[in-house]
Amino acid sequence: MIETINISAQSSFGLSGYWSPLEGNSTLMNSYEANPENYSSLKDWGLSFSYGGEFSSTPTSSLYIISLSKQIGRHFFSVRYTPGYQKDFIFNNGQSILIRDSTSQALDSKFSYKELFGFGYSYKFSEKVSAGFSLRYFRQEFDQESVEPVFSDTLYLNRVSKIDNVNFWRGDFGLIYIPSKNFSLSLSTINLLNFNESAVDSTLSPYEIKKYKGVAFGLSVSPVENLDYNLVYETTNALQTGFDISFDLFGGKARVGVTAFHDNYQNPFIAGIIPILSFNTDFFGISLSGIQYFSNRNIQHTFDEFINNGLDNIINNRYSYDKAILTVTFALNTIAEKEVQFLDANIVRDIYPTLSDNYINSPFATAKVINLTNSTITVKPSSKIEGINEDRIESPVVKVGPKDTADVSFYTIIPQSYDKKKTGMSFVNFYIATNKGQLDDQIQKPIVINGINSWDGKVINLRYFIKRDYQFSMDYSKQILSRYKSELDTMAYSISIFYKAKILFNKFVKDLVYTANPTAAQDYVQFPSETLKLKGGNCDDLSVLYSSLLESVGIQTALVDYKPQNGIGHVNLLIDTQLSPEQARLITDNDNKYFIRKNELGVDEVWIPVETTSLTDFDKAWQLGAEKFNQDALDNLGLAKGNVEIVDVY
Amino acid sequence: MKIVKSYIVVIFFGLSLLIIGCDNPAPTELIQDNSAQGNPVQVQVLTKDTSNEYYSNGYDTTGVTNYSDSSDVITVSGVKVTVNNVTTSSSLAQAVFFDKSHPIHSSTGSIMGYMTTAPGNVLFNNQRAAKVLYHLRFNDRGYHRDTVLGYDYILSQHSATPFNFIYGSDITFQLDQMNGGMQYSFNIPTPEEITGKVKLTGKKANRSLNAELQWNVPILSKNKVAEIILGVMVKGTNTSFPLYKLSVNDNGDITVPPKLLNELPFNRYDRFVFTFVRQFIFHHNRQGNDLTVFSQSIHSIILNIP
Repeated sequence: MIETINISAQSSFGLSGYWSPLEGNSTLMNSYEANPENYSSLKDWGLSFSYGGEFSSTPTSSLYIISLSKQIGRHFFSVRYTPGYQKDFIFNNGQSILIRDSTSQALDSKFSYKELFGFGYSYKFSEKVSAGFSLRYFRQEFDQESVEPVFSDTLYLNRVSKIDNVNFWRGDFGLIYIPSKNFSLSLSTINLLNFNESAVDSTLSPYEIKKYKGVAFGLSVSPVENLDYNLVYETTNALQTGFDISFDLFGGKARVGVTAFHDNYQNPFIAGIIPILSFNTDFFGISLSGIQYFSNRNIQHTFDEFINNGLDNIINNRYSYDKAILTVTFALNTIAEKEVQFLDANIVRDIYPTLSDNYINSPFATAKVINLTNSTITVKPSSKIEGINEDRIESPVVKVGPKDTADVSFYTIIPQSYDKKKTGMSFVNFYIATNKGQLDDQIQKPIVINGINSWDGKVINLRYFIKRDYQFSMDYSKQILSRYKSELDTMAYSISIFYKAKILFNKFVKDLVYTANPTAAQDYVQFPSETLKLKGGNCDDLSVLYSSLLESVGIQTALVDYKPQNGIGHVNLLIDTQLSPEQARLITDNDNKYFIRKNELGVDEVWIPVETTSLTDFDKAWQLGAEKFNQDALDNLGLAKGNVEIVDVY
Repeated sequence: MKIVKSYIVVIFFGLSLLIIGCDNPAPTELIQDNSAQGNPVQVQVLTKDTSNEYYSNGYDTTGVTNYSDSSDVITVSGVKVTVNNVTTSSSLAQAVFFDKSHPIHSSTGSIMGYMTTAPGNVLFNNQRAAKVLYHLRFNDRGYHRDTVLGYDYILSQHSATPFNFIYGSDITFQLDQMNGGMQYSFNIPTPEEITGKVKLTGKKANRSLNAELQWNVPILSKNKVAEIILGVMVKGTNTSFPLYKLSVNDNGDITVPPKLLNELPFNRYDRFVFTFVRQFIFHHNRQGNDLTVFSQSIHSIILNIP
């Protein structure tokens, strides 16, 4: 009568031993035995195969595993084909046919056990915790010869072969916890799910692979750098333990390790060892491992032994032979490894679209980044403001030392065509990349985009409003001056500038009125065309208009910024008459009505202050401007104290 | 991307070459050392011509007659036959001396047997065996023919001096040759008694017949071979027809290979005959002639085919 006894083998036995999951050992990617939770540190595609030889009395070679894996976000998928996971037994099944009283033909049986393929999936809950499962498909072929009589006019016996396939699936779950780069724990099931494809002939049950249920605990510790100690214990009283040492070599990582294994039915206590030598880079890994059993494997076994002990592991059992395995792993990364990462990003200035050039010269945001690598990298920052930029706008590169942090600045370009008058919220996407060309990290922040008439209150930035309607102003000014062409042509050129300024002022003030700023909370500046169209404006608008008209016909101007005293600021204009100090008498005998100042070429010239809000006539505006300038800028030492600032338009 | 494609092509071809060049892992050959998978059985077809139920093939379904190629055959048998759970016992001693120079041919030319001779008086346990006519019945081109080949010597419990087969003992054989020929004698050891049991299950209708046979294990003569003669009885008659001889270790049980039971023309046969045979075979030389002695315990069990 056939009897079976319970035995258990090392379920987590893999062809490359048990490896630490610390620091990304890609060698593990094809092992559902040691890694049923399907954990991997691969970033993208992975392809792996294991080829080796088995040292039976007649050495054979096999392709043991081909596996393919893919990381998609937090999901990791893998599939493997295992043509070399096979164990066959042949034996005489006890029947024979006697032919012609002398010749005996024995009938044979062949039992074949194969693991054909498997699937794995895992989900990374965090950098520390990952869980997954593996599902493996096994085939058992029981090929038994028997006698079959053929009963016709003559009776004779045929040898017929009957093959019974008993195929089944095995599913296991696992969890891995890696709290630090020096320590990991794993917990996985053994034969949690087993289901046959079809009903099993009860007579074949004793020959099926044993499926003892249990749990496996894995532990990896790195007590010192480059040394890993690994242990896996199974509740079926089997264990593996080993260590590996790694060192840098040719830009990659070389490892030397050994795993010893024990299970309940192989002798001696440590049934064998798996030494391994490997070399890994970011793109591929190659390892050479061996399986050396400590008992003689080239001995004869009896059918009794087979039926009493059974088989529960295809690649590691009392009938297994010593092996040598070459495993090659390719990391086909279409996604580059992240080298730099954002720590934070801050908007330092809201967006005022009209101040466009301002954002080319001065950053609107800064960020702190960290270099994740062990070498100096060049970080390329870029940004894209939704609603303003069509493409990413590159900012100056920054070099960051190994594992160091750095501040990067973000600049932007605002197209001249931007014409939204309303202020609103938008988002800006910040990107960083390295020389590899692919984005390493990105972050999004909200940002205020003001309307085109919004002004940040800095007088120096009024120049952008002056400039914006430049073509309009030029047309307007030339149209007016053309009416005075004969007069201007007959006067001396030296004073024609002064008269041009006077003509223009007197002409446009006729239809204008001064109004207070309608947007009290935020400075609002009209473009020159708008001011003329609206027939009014405040000091900012009128200064912008007059400056724009003058500049458009080549008359240099400067804005006089009377900084807020008691909460009220003011802006008016200085006009470069292009007269030399000696020629000042041509326009006035009053020394208080002009001001000697260097032009953009560094030549002293006569500048006259004009109060643009005085909408009577030029002379009056000049007088008021001069009085205010003398009082605030000179008498009260405003220029010296910084209370008054002269800002050249160009 | 171009580099990645090149990698993929190289890897694909590399793996293809590996797969083509690979072997299957070496199988482990297991030695069949005992009955873990059941009693080893050797099957031999006894009747090749299934249409000739009368042809003497050297066996009958009781196993009593077991002719060899020897010139002289002596058979001593302790025979039990169980029908409907009723067992009857008998003993039989038989001696046949063939004249190999006079074969009997059928009309087709095949040798059907040999003429026999009567060299003198035959005694078993000092009891004289009766000299009776030796018939051969066979089918010759569709006709049943009976032929007298000569004489044979028979002693049974029905003889005037009854013969009783003693199991696990000795039987003396003696040939007193005529015409002043020399006396020829020797002892024939007998085997231990064999008693069989058959558990026949299943149905012929769905070809699920299964027969588990058990018999007593010998105490003295261990590690010997027992024979099971599997025969059938022709429907509606008492004519038996041996089909197979199963040679097995004499260790007490066997499951008959099911196909031997199920692949039969049940329209012709309605009963199985399982015959358990434990026998000793000896060879002697009688004045240059081979003499084979069969000493056997036989138990036949006749069962209706369910």
